[in-house]
Order: sequence, then structure tokens, then C-alpha cells
Amino acid sequence: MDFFEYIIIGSGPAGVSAALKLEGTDTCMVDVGEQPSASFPFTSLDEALASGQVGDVLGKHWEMLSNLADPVRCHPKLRAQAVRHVMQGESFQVIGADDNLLVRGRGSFAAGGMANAWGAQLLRYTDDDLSEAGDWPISASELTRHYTDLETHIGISGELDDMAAFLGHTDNLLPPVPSVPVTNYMLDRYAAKRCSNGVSGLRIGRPRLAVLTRPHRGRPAYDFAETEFFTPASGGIYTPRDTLSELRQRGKIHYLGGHKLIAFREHADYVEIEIEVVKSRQRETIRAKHLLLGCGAMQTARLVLLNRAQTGASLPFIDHPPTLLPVFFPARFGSRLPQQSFPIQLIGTLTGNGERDMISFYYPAGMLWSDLLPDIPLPMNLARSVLAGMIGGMLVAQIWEISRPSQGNRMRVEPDGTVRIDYRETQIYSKLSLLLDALRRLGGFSLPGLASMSPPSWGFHHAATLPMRLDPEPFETHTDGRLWDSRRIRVIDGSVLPSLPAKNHSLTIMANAARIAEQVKLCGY
Amino acid sequence: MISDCASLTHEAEVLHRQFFHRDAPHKLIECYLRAHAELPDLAHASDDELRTVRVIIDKNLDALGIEPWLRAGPERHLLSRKLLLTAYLAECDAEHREFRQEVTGRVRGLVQLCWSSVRAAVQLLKGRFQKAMYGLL
Repeated sequence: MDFFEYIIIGSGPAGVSAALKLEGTDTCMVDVGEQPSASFPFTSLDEALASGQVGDVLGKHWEMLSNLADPVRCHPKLRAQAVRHVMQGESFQVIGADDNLLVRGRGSFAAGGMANAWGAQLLRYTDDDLSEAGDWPISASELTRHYTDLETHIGISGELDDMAAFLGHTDNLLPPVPSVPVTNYMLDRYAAKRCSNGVSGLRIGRPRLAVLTRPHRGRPAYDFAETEFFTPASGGIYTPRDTLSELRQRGKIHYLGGHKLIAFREHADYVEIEIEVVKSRQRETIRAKHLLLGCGAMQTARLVLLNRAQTGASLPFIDHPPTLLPVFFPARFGSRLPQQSFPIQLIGTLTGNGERDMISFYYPAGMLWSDLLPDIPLPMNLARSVLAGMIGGMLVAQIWEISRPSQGNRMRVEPDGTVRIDYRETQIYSKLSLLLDALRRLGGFSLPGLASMSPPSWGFHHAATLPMRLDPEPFETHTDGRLWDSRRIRVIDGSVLPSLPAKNHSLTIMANAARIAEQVKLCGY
Repeated sequence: MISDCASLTHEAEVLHRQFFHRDAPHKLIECYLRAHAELPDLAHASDDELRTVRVIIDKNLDALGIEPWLRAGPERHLLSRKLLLTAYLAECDAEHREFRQEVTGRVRGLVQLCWSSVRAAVQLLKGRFQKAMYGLL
């Protein structure tokens, strides 16, 4: 029977970050490691559309049309045939306040996890973020060193502008991603009107992205060919797959692909882990001194509940379902569309009005125009015509807010092993009129009626299922990641984050996993 | 099967002509038929939806003007699905350059927006009238 010092489950952001910290030790990563079964055979979206190869763009099995009847059946970034492998893991369902089924989804078995489809915003949490969100038993300073190491490893683009105080200081930023005309217009207006508190409380700046604008540590710069909705993030967009292949190439990790975790049992000196070969369903047992669970907030919690035979128990569940708001800049209608762009153009926050939110401004050119037609309340032929004049002067604001556990939003495991999330409390964005006022001053117009809220779990920022505490109770974790009653089993993913500031939590998951991995190394047993 | 194929071909031709004011390319019709054979979303529809589409095609009503009045509820109406399918196929077949061909120039952009809005108002009124007149659900 194989015996390792450390076994990490999952190759997502948490898993690879812990593996990086444990480099040089006897570490095994157990991972299903699904790979894409199809590819996007074009170098840019323009080339794809000019090719006339309908099957290659819409998918051999019409994957891009999976939302034809139900607009929320599949996340827009997970529809394309080359991205389908990302969401083929254990299934879950989200049930709303009226016992209606809101979302039916699946976790990820892909190498690199859900990060294959992420927006690549990697942001630090500051002490302000943690105290505002509340219940964090650690301070941001405990993550600082890990943030810095990861930023150096990954390569972050951005700018030290008005958003620096909100985003936290990062050294050695790469130049920001190319800006499109409407972004330049908004930034010019902002520069002309800004005061110390932004414009009507709105501060904006360039986003911090794991997107290479020049080569970094042997990885190429991104080509900005507007293929983000058709391929998994790759090349100049960092994903955990990059770190995984780096570790494997260097021979620094024992990678057990094609396997999934079935059960684990803790003994005095080791943890025994039962794994299954996914293809043959053959089971085997391996052992390690320490087990690190990094399967994501939902799936790790599921495994822990199943392990403790507590499928009836319910755990907290939090998410970041964003509010979406199209914003129109008439002064930039008719702008010539750039050949290259990246969806996330700007980041902002409303200050001085209670809790801070985070607003990402997206430029929608990387989507098919047909995706946007049903959202325009006009006949589709004229919606297309309107879009042609308008798209150069259009951004979509994606608004994220602080999220905390509540009694109404809980997860549990059904007797058949699927995850059920009861999502009975939704947050309505309360600062819409303030945001609209600030945007008007920057030449952007929208209407409250155009704002829509994404379905729960749509943002994929899941957390708090096994929250870390100084003095944990059952189904909580210690600050060093250990399960409440365990010495050798640790949780390293988003499960342990007790609340979510408005910012994306991906970099914090990675930094926290690195922090926990470092503590495992130093634990002395 | 032959009559299904013939009626779907006719449906594709009508919807495409209304959408783009020209005949549908052969390839688009082929894809339209294949999508109907392979996509469950195009196979399942209520009797009301099937009747609405049949009446619109048979009487050559303004499908695009009627369709916005049928947008309600979490699931899209069969007519919306068929029009959307037509749009996707056209956008990807390299023969409809009006997709992704932006209008350049701020004045032209604004004029296009205003003109499209006026046309939309007329088309929506016509669609509302036809929907009521033929009892389309």
C-alpha cells in the first residue's frame, strides 16, 4: 500500500497552491483530472465566425444552444463544447424559497477545477474586507506573504490607480489588459471629474487579472482574441492547470489522475484513503500522514458529511450571485470595435454608503450577438440592428456584494448522494440608484428595470460550508484547516472561508491553502 | 417525415426572409433541419405554442413583431427558440455579415438607433395586433 506524507484531493486553486507550498515533500495529488474532449479550432472569434463552420462554433451537438429554451440552464461560460468537461462532477441542485428548482448543476472533475472558466480576477483581501464581512478568525496579514508569492508565481496585470486602496498593494504588476474605446471614455470622464472620494462615491480603475500582457516565467502573453466564451482559460490566462503541469514536469508531485476520493478514515498515525479509478470503478487504498481536502466548498462538505454519515445535517452555504446591469454610453455609440479585447475592462466600488460592493465592468464583444438578442426588448431583427450601433458604447456592470451565512441558505446531502442547496434568502442590491447617478456623471446611462440578479450558485463563489473558527464546533474547522475533531484531516478550499467580502475569493482561497499547507509542514507530527 | 422536412424547410425560409429580407442559404436550412432533429428544446412544446408557430407560418404573419409579446415565464416560447436558432445559424455561417459588422461613427450609430427604435415601435404594434387578432398564445 502506498504511503505518502501528504495527500491532496483536487487540482483546483486550493490544491495546486498547497502542492506548491509542499513542493519537495512526498506529496500525492488525487484528481479526476478531466480533459477537454473537443477543441475550438480557431485562433480568434472573428476567424471562427468567418469560417462558416457552424458545427465548430456552435458545437457538434449544439452545445452553445443548450440555453435555447431555458436561459439559465447553463452558465454562458460553460456552454461551449471545449469547456463542457469543466462541469461533469457530482451533481447539485439549488431550491428556491417556493421549493422551486432554481439551478441544476454539477461540480467539476476537470484538471484545474472550475478555474478553467474563471474570469481571472485575482484579488487580495485586506483587513478592511475581513472586518466588514465579519467572523474571520485570522487577519489579512497572515495571508500577505502567500498573496505575494502567488502573485509572483502567477503574474498579475493591473495598475496602481484609484482602486489601489480597495484592491490592496501588489508589487510588479504587469501592464493592464488593452482597454476598449468605451473604457477609455469612462476613464477620461472619471479623471476630469474625480475628487478624493471618486465621482459620487464611485471609484474606478483597471482590474487586477491573472492575464499576462507580456511573457512571464516561461508563459506567453495572452492573445486577446475574444475566445473566452469558447475555450477553457489557457495560454496567457493563468489557471491552476499551469501550476499542476509545472509541478509534474519538475517531478515534484506524485499525480494520481483519473481517481476520485470515496472515503477516508483517520487513525492515530495516518489517514487511510479509499479512492476509485473513475473509468473501471476499481477501488484501492492509500495512506498518508495528512489529508488535505480541496474539492471546492460544495464537494468537500459533501465528502465530510458522507464520511460522518450525517447526510441529514445541514451546513451553511454562501455564494455571490451578482447583479447584472447593462450601461450605455451614447457618446461612444458607433465606436469602431477593436480587433482584440478582454471582457473585464474596469473594476469599481461605491464608497461612503455603507458596506462596499465590487463592480466589474464587462465589455460583451467576446459573446455571440445572438446571445444578447433575447435580452433586448425589441423584435430580434431590430435588436441586432440596434446592437450594431450600440455595442461599442456598452458595458455590463456585474455587481458583487458581501455575503454572510444565513439561516435560509443551507446545503445538505440527499440520500442518493447529491447535494441540495436550499437558497431561500436573496440579497437585493440596495445601492442601484446611487450607482446609476454616479454612472450618469461619467456619461453612462441605464435603468433600474434593466438590472437582473443571477441565479444562486451562478457566480461560483461558494464558501462557508465548513467555516474556520478559533474554537470550532461540529462541521467547522480550526484555523489551521483541521476538521473540528481531527488531527490529520484538513480542509484547504473555499469551505473554510466564514464570510465573503465583495471581492472575488479565488486568490484568497489559494493564499489560505498555502498558509494551511505551511502549517501542516510545521505541525510536528 | 417527408412532410415534416418540407414544412420545416418552409418554416426556415419564412423566418429567415422576415429576419434578413432575403432567401435563406441552403446550408442554413440544412442546419435548421438538423437542429430540429437533434435538439430536444425544439421538439418539446405545448399545443398553444405549436399552434402559434403554425398560424404564423401559414398566414405569413410578422413573427418578429409577435415574438416579443410572447416573452414571459422562465422558459422561452417555441417561436422565440426558432427565431433564436435562425439568428445563431446566421451569425455563424459566414454569409450574414450584418452580424458583428458594427455601425461606425457616432452620428450614424445614433441615427441607426433612432431609426431602429421607430421601426421597432411600428413592428411591435403590428405584432400586438396580429397576436390579438389570431389569438396567439
